[in-house]
Amino acid sequence: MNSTITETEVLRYIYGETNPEESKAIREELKKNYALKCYHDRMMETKNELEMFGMEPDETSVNIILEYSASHHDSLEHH
Amino acid sequence: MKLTQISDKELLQAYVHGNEACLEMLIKRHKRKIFTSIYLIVHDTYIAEDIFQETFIKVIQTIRSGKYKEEDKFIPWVMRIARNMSIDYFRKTRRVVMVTGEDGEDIFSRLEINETNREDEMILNQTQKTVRKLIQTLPEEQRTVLILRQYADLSFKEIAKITGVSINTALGRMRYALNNLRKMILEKELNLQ
Repeated sequence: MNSTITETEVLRYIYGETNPEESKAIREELKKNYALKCYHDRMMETKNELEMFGMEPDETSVNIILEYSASHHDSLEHH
Repeated sequence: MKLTQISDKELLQAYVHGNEACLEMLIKRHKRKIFTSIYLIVHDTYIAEDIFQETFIKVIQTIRSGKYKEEDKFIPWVMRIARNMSIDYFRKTRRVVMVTGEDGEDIFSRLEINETNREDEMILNQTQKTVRKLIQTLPEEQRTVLILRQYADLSFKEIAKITGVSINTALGRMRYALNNLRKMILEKELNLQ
């Protein structure tokens, strides 16, 4: 029987959007489907490369948020 | 237990009960993806800093007013606030022509209009510049899905809803986006590692 697992399902798997049953079926399919395994590896590699583009806010921004939160601490306790 | 081992949901609950360190951990954990997705929309680090701050101030205010009900979906909620803040920025400054989607909030056709300023070019390192340029060469529909999934961390279901297409269409656009990026990387023989 032909597998119903396509590149679209692999993409959902790569981004963590498959349920445990689907994930298991995909992992099994990747063991025996060379073309799909190659696709999986290429997409994972691209995803990892994209993750290299990331920027962080300045520490000042984080401190402003934390100071705001701390200075309004009382209002939290009233709810 | 260390804070680093606690889930977002538990951190949020502890913050609601007054543990300020838990907010710091939540920000530390997710600041990169939130800030990056804001930056990819506004293309200006200073504005991105402002929107990042405003986003979390709104998060704090909402939590403290007792209006936050989506405890198990904290980050998608924060990302939605950040996205709406970015839209508000565009509306206030009127720097772009409004092009709206089904929900009236499609701002992504404007991504090319807001060019990165010179100072930002100096801040970004070469790899970041390369990746950003590659992303910007993608067709708009593909770029939108890529940014929302890869950097804003929204699910394909959420992206489909925001952009007014089916999940399969969103997935198809993401497939094309990744395939196109892969080709460009290979064609240019880029080594991003």
